[in-house]
Amino acid sequence: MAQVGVLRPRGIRQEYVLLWLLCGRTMLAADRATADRAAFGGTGAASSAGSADAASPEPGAEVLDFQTRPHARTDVEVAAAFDAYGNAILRLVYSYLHNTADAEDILQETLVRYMQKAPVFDSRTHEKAWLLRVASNLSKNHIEYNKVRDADELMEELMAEERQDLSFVWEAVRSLPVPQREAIHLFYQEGYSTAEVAQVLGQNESTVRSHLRRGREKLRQILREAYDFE
Amino acid sequence: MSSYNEVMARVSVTPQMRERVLAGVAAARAEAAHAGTHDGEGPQAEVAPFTGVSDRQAGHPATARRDLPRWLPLAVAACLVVAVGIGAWQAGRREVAQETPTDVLQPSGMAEFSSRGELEASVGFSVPEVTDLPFEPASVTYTNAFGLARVDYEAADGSVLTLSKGIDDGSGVSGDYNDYAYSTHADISGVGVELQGSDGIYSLAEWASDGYAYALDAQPGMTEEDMLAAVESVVAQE
Repeated sequence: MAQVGVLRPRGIRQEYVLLWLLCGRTMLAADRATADRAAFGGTGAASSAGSADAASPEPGAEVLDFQTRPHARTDVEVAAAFDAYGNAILRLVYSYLHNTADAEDILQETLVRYMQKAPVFDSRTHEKAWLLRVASNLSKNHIEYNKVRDADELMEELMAEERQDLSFVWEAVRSLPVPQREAIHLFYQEGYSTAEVAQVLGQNESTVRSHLRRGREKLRQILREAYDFE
Repeated sequence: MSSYNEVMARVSVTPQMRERVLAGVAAARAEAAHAGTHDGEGPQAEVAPFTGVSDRQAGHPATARRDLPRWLPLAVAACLVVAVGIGAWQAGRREVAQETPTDVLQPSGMAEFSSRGELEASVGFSVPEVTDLPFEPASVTYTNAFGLARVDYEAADGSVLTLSKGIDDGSGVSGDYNDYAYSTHADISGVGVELQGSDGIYSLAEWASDGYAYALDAQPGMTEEDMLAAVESVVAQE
């Protein structure tokens, strides 16, 4: 935080930084208004046709027939899942581990599990949630039982580009305890509702709300202290 | 785009990473096939990608099976049983080791340790941490109490939250035999948790999972939300 200490963003109030966090959440929520929420049992449009996931798969993603696909995952199917969800998985894992090498290892392990064990999914939303849950569990296991590498290439990149505003936000979020950080990431980065975050993490929705509340409070505290730094 | 979204946008898959990861997955498939596990899903994992066209539709003779020896299907089934067994054994080796109550060392009194790892080595089973505490701990104490693992989190104001874990013999591990006026039941990730307290404040949470009993004892008590969050942070690790 020493680098952040010299930051004096004139005219940018700390509330605006939180507003920036929230703006992204609002935009994501609008995109997901027509997403298939059947997998989460929530309200909202049931059609998968307008799913943000189905509408914006990355090039190379194959249209999958969820009704007739066998249990075994072929290399083509694994590649399609990678192209559709690879970035989302990588970003979630990076939020846990803070370095690219470990994140890539967990991304690969997640897809190995997908290849070996994935059930038949009701929808792309269900499939993505399953992958994110596996990635989350693998990441937390990795933190628990392995030494996490010290390098944080993302922070190094932000510092090199002198994007102190972004490095400031990243440092604040990565300093949160894991339960708060993962809730913050899934809620703001993936645009999930608290019910959907609970489904991905295997937690009660009330617990997710509690983690989100505490995470926001801690972020406000960190941001307030940093902006007051002389 | 929010600042956090802008930060995360810089974390993305590169073509080189894609190539490495997919090669790694293919290698894992080959390793499983070599070990005879068929990806743990039976022979269909080795079947060519599903095309929606049956063999009959594709013009393949459906009578070919009649030429096979009668004992062949039984032999294949026997081989599959062995292969699945080997696969399950190897999969178990790759998983994080799950200790069983039979691995627990015999208790020999009270002993205090400076780290969770030392406590785990003493009691012979994993000891989780309470990662969602309602306060900032000023001190953490790790104790082997006659075979029970105990982790005491103490705040600067003297508040204490104690996590206990031991073999589930039905008698509980909290050591708290107070009669509380109120109890409630919660389900956390499929684990039934009993909360006890009074006047909306909970002092005790108890649950059992996989042969072990757990307890969280809070002095003073906590709100239901804080207690459940603390419990959940433990359940998530086990």
